[in-house]
Amino acid sequence: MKSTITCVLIDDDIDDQEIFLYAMHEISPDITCRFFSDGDVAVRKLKEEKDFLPDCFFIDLNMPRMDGRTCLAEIKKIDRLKDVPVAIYTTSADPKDMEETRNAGADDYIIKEASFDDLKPRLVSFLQHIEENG
Amino acid sequence: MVDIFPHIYSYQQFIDDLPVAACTCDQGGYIQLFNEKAVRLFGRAPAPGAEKWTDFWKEFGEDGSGLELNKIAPVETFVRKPDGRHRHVRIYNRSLSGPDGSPAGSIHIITDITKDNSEEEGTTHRAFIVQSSYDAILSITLEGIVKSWNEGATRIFGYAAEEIIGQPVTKLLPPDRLDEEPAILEHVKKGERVDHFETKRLTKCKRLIDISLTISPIKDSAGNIIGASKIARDISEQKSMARINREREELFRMAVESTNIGSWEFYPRTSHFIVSDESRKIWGIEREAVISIPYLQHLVHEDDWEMLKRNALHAMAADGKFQAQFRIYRADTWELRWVKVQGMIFFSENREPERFIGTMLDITADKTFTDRLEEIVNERTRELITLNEQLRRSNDELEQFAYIASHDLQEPMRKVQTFAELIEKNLGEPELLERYAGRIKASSARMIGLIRDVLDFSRLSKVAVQLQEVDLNIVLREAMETWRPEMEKRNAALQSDLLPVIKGNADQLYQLFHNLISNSLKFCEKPPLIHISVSRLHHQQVMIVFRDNGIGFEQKYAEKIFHIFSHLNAVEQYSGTGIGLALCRKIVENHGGAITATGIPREGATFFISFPL
Repeated sequence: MKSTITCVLIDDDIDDQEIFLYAMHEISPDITCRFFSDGDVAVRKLKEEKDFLPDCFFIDLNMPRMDGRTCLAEIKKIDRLKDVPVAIYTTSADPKDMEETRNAGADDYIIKEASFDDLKPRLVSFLQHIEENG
Repeated sequence: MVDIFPHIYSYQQFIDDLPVAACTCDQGGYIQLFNEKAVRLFGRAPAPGAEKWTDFWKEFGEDGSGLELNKIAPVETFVRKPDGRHRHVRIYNRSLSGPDGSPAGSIHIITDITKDNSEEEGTTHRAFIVQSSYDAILSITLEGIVKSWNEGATRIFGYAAEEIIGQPVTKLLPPDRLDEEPAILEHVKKGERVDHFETKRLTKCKRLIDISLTISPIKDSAGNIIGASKIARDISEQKSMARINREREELFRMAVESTNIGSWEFYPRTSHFIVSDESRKIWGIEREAVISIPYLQHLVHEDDWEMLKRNALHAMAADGKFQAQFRIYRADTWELRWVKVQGMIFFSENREPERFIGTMLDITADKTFTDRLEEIVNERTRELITLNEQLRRSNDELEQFAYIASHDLQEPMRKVQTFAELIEKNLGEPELLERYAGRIKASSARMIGLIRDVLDFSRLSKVAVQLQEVDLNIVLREAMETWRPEMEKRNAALQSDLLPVIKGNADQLYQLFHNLISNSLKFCEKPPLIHISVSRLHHQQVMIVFRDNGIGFEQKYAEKIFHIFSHLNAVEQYSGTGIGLALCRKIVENHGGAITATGIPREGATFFISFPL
């Protein structure tokens, strides 16, 4: 696995940010994580920082103000970022949400599992998928 | 024939020379020879050899009964000529023999002995009329004994002439009318006529019949009253028809009286109205008042007149039947009443309306009942719509609850589980243990808060508001009191107009202000400033405007903020369960009001709350 992976998590829940970070560090200490708690802010920053090119995005669906779907669409509009793989990272297990986000360009759909040990394998498989296609 | 009269021409001459009417017949009675006088008497010339002497005339006795013409001469009889006139004649008959002495025929010499032509003819004529009359014609003596009896009498009373002639006429009287006959005879003896006396008589088979009697005295040639003639007409059928008509009239009158139906007639050519008393009663028109179209028009409700006219015109163009329900003002009390009119138009030959007839009925009571029914139905419909609306909202809320149960309530639980797992992994690191334990506590607290709020919300949904007069100034003061420490800490200020007194539930209204203040304090980064103003929309509605200087929101979220558990802001940044404003909306709706919001990001939010007064 590539040691220098940079991923971005857009999620308003800071508990989930912490859990995510913990999981990523367990997978590889070299993975760099950047967090945004607000979709609006994230999109604005990503547009401003023209040199920033992450390896992947994780986007929560249920967020106040700009929700995950809008956020996904906005990122796909940014030319520099439109090919960066995106995984939806959410508590929703609704098939409709899965379908819609896939059609909107999301590469994976990861449900926030209650058990830490269930979450990690899902993250690993997504990261491996990126490496294979990268 | 001719050969048995060798001197035939002398016979003809002989007959012609006779000063009276004469004719000869053959052995079979067929007329052979006749003279001019016979032709005059007969009224026409008989056909020789084809017409019998005996069949040539109709003969009657003096009383009108038929006679067999006897060949034995001489005979006096009445004859009817072909023109209908009657003559009194004496006939001499004589047999004729041939040269050998064998019978060869007969000769008849007829003398007209009609004394006073007209009188004699009249008598015979009367006799004929009597015999052929449809009425019963009988004569009685002054003792009440039947002397003559015609066929009409037989037909009506059932007795044959021979059964009744010579019997007392009281045979025809019903037992309860026996005294009628002496009274009749009294009149007769005085020479008086009794005309069209209606009474009852018994037939031979004891059936009681209605008759009309006309009785006239009979006088002899000397002018003495010797009896009476009676003409009786059977009027049973007329009587029973009259009775049926009377009964029908009575039935109709009863029906009309019991239903209060009025009747009326109108003659368009003369604009003349005939109305029954009941009709006048319905219109409230006095007996003396003259009724005309313009007069009725001013009594008919102004919205109904055109319809009524249209109705009548339509009936004139169609089959003449019409029917209408309309409102009138009673002429006497000016009371508004509903009436129903039903009628029929009769047309002249050239289709001009000649006569309107009809009935009318006051149907106010029915109509009021129908209106009331309609009102009840409408009321029920409104109730159903309201109920349906409540159900729909309750359904929406159920859906929201399902979402909450599967999502919002699951969130803190998931975190508790995850952090518990992390504690297990880091048992040797006291710093991390403390950190994760804190996270677990926070999630649990949030969980408890959510459950409590969901309960509050569902309780609000179920409890019907007990309406009391609530002074919103007092409620607001209590709510501010709860928040005083926080407000002092944040250097917050609240200004309010004088608030109204409304009908409502004090606890819920306290909750409303509590939540609004909480919301304003929570989503504010500078010293909070709240301003409450009041404007009266109209006499039945008041509007309370609640403005803050908080972080506000984008206008597109103005509706979303009232949905249960919808957060516009990151939970960690602004603590809360996302139910406060949902509760506010519920409370306002429970009071029959409405709440909406406008927001400007970073400048503040304004809530518009309307209440019915």
